[in-house]
Amino acid sequence: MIDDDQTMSTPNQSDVLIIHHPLYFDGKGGEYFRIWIVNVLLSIITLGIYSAWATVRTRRYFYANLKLAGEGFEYHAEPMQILKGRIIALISFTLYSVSSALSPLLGGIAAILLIFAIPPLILLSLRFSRRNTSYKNIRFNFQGGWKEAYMSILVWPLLSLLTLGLLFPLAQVKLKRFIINNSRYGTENFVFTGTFGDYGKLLLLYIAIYVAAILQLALSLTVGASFVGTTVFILLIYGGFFFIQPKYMNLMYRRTTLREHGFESTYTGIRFVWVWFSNILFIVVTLGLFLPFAKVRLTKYLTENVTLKMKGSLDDFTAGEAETVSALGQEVGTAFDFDLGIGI
Amino acid sequence: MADSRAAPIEGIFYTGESSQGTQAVLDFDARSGRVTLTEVMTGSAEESAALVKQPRKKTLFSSLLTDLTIPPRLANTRRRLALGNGAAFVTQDNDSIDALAERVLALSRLSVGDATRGFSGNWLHRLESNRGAVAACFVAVIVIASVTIIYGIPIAAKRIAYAVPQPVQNSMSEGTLELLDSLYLSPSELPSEEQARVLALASAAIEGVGITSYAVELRTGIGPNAMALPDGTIVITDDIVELSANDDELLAILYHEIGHLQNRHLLRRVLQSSFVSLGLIVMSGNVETVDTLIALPTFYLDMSYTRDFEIEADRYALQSLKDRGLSVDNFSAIMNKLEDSLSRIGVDEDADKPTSRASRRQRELLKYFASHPLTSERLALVEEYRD
Repeated sequence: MIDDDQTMSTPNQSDVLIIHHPLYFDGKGGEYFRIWIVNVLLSIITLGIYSAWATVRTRRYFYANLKLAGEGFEYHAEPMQILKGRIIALISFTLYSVSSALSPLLGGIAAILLIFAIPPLILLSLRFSRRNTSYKNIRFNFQGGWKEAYMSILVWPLLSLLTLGLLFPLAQVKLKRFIINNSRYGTENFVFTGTFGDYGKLLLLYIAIYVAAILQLALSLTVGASFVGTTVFILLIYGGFFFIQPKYMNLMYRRTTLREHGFESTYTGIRFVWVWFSNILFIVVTLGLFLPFAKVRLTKYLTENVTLKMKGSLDDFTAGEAETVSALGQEVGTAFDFDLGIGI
Repeated sequence: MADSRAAPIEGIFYTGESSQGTQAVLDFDARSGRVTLTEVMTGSAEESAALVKQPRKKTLFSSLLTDLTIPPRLANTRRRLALGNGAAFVTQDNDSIDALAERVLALSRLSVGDATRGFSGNWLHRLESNRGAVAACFVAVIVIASVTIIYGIPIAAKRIAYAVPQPVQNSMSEGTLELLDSLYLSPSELPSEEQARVLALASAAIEGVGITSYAVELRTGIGPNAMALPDGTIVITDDIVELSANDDELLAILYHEIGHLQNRHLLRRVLQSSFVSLGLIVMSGNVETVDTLIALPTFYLDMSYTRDFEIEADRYALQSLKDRGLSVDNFSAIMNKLEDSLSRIGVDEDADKPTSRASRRQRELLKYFASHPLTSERLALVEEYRD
């Protein structure tokens, strides 16, 4: 647990003073287990209908325990909205499975349709999760449009594929800009300042590790040490992934600002590997019963490595105008909702 | 709480316009039935001292208690009372809010029909905070999940599979043979008289079963292998023909594949995996398809269900041999040979999953993850059908 109090004691002194407020998570595994097991049972008994209420209760618990500067976040979605979204998603999923099982052609068509549905679904999901999240009684929002969604989610990745990855860093910047710059807290937009160079460097690092892995494999195969070569190869590939992935997360937070406030992020590969793999291991060993504890552990890890660099005060954000979205769109979006997509 | 005034509840008031919160206390007056929010002045000791001399209490909000929406309790997370127009009162004092909520319930009982926005109850919280209830939920979940996986899903899939009309089943494998031909298979390289002999043998076996829609195709390219497509096409490879010492051994293989078709195994497998995925998605409330936590159990369960189908097909083959007065030893002979060639080539009989070249002991350990029952298990099955 991070003690937040000493950093709280210096408000109103100077506007340039930067106070570090770590995000922290107050949830407890045992507490969440009780909520979870009741949720699971009620979902089973109601043949899944209750799962919408279960989701809202779970989110409310996780959001409320996610704290920044002593105050929790809040989740406001209504279970009925989520239930409608789920029903639509379930029908689509069933149609897709049945059609692809019945005929490869139908399945192919459905798969292509699905690809074109992804950007709007992500857009709706972002809108839904942002608008239903608040902090200090001020709601978040998402204002991205359809065109930008298609460009950043479909077109730019396709371009980076066509240029053999040359434009990949740019595609990443475009996607982050879409997600972050369109997110707002009250009337203030988040701003992402990451550049092609930032992502290019990480990509080069990736490539360097892969090239090194392949070279050493080729070398050890020529000298006949194939076992050692393969082992080191696998270690390098996986190690490289877990070494670089946290750097991407850090980059995203460090290049994000909210008005005069910035973020610091301290994810490391080794901790990430430990939390992730031990979670999977415990879940398998306990036949799934560790799931709630794993979720709490992962959330703790994911939140407690992020710090808000507060410049001045968090008290002067103003609420944006309440917006109404088309009910259907919002509900479909909910089915593809991310867990804990708070703030950024 | 005999007193008409409940203890004040401390919390933070937000206007709904800005992120600035005000320290406030909520008071409830039972006589008027009103709740009142009053600002609490905070500041340095000096300011507090000044306050004592000159107490200024600013009323932030006031309304009838029955007009408030009190959310149900969730562990010990903070409660947010919506005050209209985006304004809210947030407090950690859950017990006092619960006491207030009880009053709302009592009041709404007095004035029927008036409290449409009243308190919806804390029954979930009471369930979650009761050890015995949680333990009971736990046991119930385990029992229901086990029964569903072991009995519910297979039985439901079987019922549905037999209700699916044959044309729909045929369309399931539409283009599959063509796809396999373009990827892995090539036309049989057996001498044409040998091909004719095998096909005649197969036709006789199929006619003996009484279903004319089944057809046998000869191919080569994937080692010793046989497979059955849902439209009734049975594919046999050259290697398996060469592996069988006589026609009766080949018949054992054919009957195994016919057993898959007769029992609609492929359709049942598709249905069962769909049920498992759907069930897990519903239970975890997670639709993201690339989720290890869902993919892993789905995969293991699929493997385990597939093993059951293999055993069912084995039983069908053994029964068919027995019914026709053929020795069940033919079945064990060909299975042994398949196992041997398997461990040499390192390819599973159905070529859908590469098998590791691990030793028999390791394979023994891995038997729950294998889709085909081990041959030693199959041999035990054979003994059941021996006279």
